[in-house]
Amino acid sequence: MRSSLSRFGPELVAGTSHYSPEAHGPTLRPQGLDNWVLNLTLKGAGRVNAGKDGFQAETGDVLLFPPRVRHDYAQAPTTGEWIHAWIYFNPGGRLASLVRWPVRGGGVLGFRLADPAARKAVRLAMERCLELYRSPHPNRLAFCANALEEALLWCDTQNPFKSGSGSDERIDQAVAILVRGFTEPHTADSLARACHLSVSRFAHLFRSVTGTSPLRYLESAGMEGAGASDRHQPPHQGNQQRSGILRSALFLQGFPSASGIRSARIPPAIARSLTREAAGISLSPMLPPSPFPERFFGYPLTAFALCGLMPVLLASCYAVRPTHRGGEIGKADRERAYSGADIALPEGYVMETVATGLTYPTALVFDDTGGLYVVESGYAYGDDYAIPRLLKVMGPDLFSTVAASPDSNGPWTGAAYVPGEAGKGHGTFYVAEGGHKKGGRILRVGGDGSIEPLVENLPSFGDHHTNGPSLGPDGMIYFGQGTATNSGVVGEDNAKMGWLRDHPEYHDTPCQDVTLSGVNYKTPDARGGNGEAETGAFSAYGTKAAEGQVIAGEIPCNGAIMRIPALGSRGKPGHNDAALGKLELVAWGFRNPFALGFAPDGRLFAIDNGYDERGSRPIWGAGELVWEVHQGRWYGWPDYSGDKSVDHAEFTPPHGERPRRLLQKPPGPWLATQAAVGRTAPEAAPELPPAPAAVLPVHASADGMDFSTSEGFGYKGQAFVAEFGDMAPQVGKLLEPVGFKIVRVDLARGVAEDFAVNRKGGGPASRGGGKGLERPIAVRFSPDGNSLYVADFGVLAMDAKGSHAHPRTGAIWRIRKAGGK
Amino acid sequence: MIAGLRRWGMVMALAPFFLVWLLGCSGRRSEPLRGAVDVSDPQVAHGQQVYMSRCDKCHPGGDAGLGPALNNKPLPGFMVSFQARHGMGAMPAFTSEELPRPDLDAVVAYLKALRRNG
Repeated sequence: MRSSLSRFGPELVAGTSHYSPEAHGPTLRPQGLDNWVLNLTLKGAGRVNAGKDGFQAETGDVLLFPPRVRHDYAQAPTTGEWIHAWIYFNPGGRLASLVRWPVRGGGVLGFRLADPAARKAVRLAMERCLELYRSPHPNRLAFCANALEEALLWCDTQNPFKSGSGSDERIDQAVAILVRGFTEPHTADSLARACHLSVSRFAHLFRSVTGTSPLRYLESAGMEGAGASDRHQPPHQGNQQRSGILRSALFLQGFPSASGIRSARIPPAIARSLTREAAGISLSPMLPPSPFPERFFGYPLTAFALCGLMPVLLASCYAVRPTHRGGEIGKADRERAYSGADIALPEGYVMETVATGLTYPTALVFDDTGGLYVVESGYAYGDDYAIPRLLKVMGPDLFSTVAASPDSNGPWTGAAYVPGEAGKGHGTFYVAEGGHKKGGRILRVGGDGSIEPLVENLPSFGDHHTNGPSLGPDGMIYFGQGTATNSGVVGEDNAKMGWLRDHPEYHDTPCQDVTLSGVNYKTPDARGGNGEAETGAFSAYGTKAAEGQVIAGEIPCNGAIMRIPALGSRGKPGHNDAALGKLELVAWGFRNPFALGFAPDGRLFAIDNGYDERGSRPIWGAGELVWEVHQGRWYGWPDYSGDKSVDHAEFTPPHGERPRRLLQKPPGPWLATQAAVGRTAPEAAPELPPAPAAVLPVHASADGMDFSTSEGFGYKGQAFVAEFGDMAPQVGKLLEPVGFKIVRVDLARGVAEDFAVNRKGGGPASRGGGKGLERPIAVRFSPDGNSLYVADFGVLAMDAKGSHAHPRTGAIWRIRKAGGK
Repeated sequence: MIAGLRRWGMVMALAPFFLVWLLGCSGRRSEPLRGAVDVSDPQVAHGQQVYMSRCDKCHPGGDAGLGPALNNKPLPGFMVSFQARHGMGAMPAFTSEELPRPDLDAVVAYLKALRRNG
């Protein structure tokens, strides 16, 4: 048997169970359970009980196991499997009228849901009950209880002993008395008097309506606490349990009333009496502690308070709120139109196109003569390949190809220009080649189109690639290397991306020795097998990690910023051909340091794409981080986002489990000498990541950065950042599109402000019907600092199946002050 | 007059208006669209910094993103504080250690400035 189980508290448990020939033997509970179990057969058939009490439950059958009725079931011998959904619950008093079902055998109640619509409704309600409970919503228990009631009400529509047909107001009143007065002694006499009936008439009527005697009813509802029935109370049921029963019953009543969502099934008399009873009694212990005084709900002030809280409560219904994704633009090819007028800028600035019709542009670079170049990636997510190229922009929509990759090992993600010894216009380009097919590389591209790899075999087969590069004031070429995975564990998401199939042994490589905590994640085998795979951090898919296991650091590695000396950087002694391609680690612990930039004062900053809510270890609510990069530091991946550990509550997905740490301890600072690069300093204490310089929105995909150096443009010293925009739903849920704009960041204060946004809606232009920005991916100031150029990747649609890039929709924009050059 | 209304009836009557108000408004009011936010007040300026480090990632510029928009909700300050302290739904709670009272008050002041913008 394979079961999925969710505990709702002491009185409500739900799950699904799968019986098959390979599974364990039948379920046998001779004494039954303390509460009721609702059971719906979803597939196959089950054998329930044996002998004269035995029967077969088939698809669409609903069963009710009353308390202490024998549980004896398995899959039917005639079928291969039996899948059923179930809810363990206490009906209290209010639902009691919904559990008057015919007996199938051995005390088990049930019947067939003949109406497919009712069957579907019951199934959906039970599934919703399970799903809602798993949400973090503070009212999830109430929602679950309501879903359970809905399931029972749908069952009631098909119930041969339909509750309405046999209902009697006086008996409903008696049930209400039993529910709310469980601490009081009850006898048949007292109940009969309360209902204005003779004892014999009451007993007869009670049996005819409920199908059982008052005493049996108390027992079956688990309410033996009634004084007169104390001798029947099972020893394991204490006051707390009984109190919970009452309170849950009151809660079932109280929540609909308090929220204005009223159930149609509650008899008005009972509803009124229970509401009165609820006043002065704190809500169920299953609920979070109430911030209000106990009698709060009894005053007219309640109305005002609830009105005010309503937006907060509604705003908290995250699981049920609609999602709007930036990439929801459909798959059809479209002619893209451009208009700077559709882009809003601060007063005094204008925006215009420089070039259009590019295919997946990713970077801009100027040479030392002021010539503008653009890099075409040659690859887009969705495994859409083209030829990576470096193009010189000769004029509006006029390009000259400087170099093109012969082996389509894209994406080319960035380029830097290094002036040459021979004078202006004789420099060299350094290009980061993502290496989706053959591994990442740093290429030196001559003006004659020659391509020479300086660094090869960088670990780029996974989710993220080789990024950058950027020329440092020290004459070194700095570049980033992204991680293979979202958060350190290879999982099903990587199979969907395709690379797990091509590189089944590939995984993240740390830059220094790390000690694992031994946390592993189990998934259905994403390699196509029938079983499950359990995978640990920094390990190949299906390879478990052990507690205390040390993974040796290597260079090159993932999640790192590395550097190489640049050839031909004028005035930088010591950088020559002998040092060419000599790789050094600068810092690590990043996830995907896509954008690198040197501030005017020479400090290195990097923008790190934050975790996604996907894969075996989804992490929610992780922003894009702007780091000031210091050599020798670890920046937190895979256990931190900024200076906060990912096992903090704010990173727990709304429907998922809290991420656990993969490392036994932070790896600490490492020795940065050439002799021991990448090795942890033995005397060093663990060092936590620093606070980021700025935090940008979750899933904004901040991919390009440059610094204003001129008052001619303004905001001198501030960083300008291109936000590519969200890739939901692949990265997680969003309420509104995020990104698709240019922001400026005051890194001294950690404050980001919009700078260029589409006027028509928050997503890409194609989503709102405008002619503005699609997906800005890079920004570059002109050499004189008076203009900001923006590379716009073009149209990239997203849906549940993945991404769909549209070639020849990329563009270059220019932003300048109105009236400026 | 309000006191004469039946409690829950009033809640039910007003809830749809809140719902419409909550879901139907656009929060986009950043500098390019509505002009710069006035942060000349030191408390507002401080609130802006705190907001950027704590809140902006889910409510970018007060707009909706991972979380709902904040800059179009005329919630009184104590309710904003209550939500931040206790968290609700998907939103995490910020303890007084994580978000000291002066910082929280400054965030509320900044949110009010955002609301006034435009």
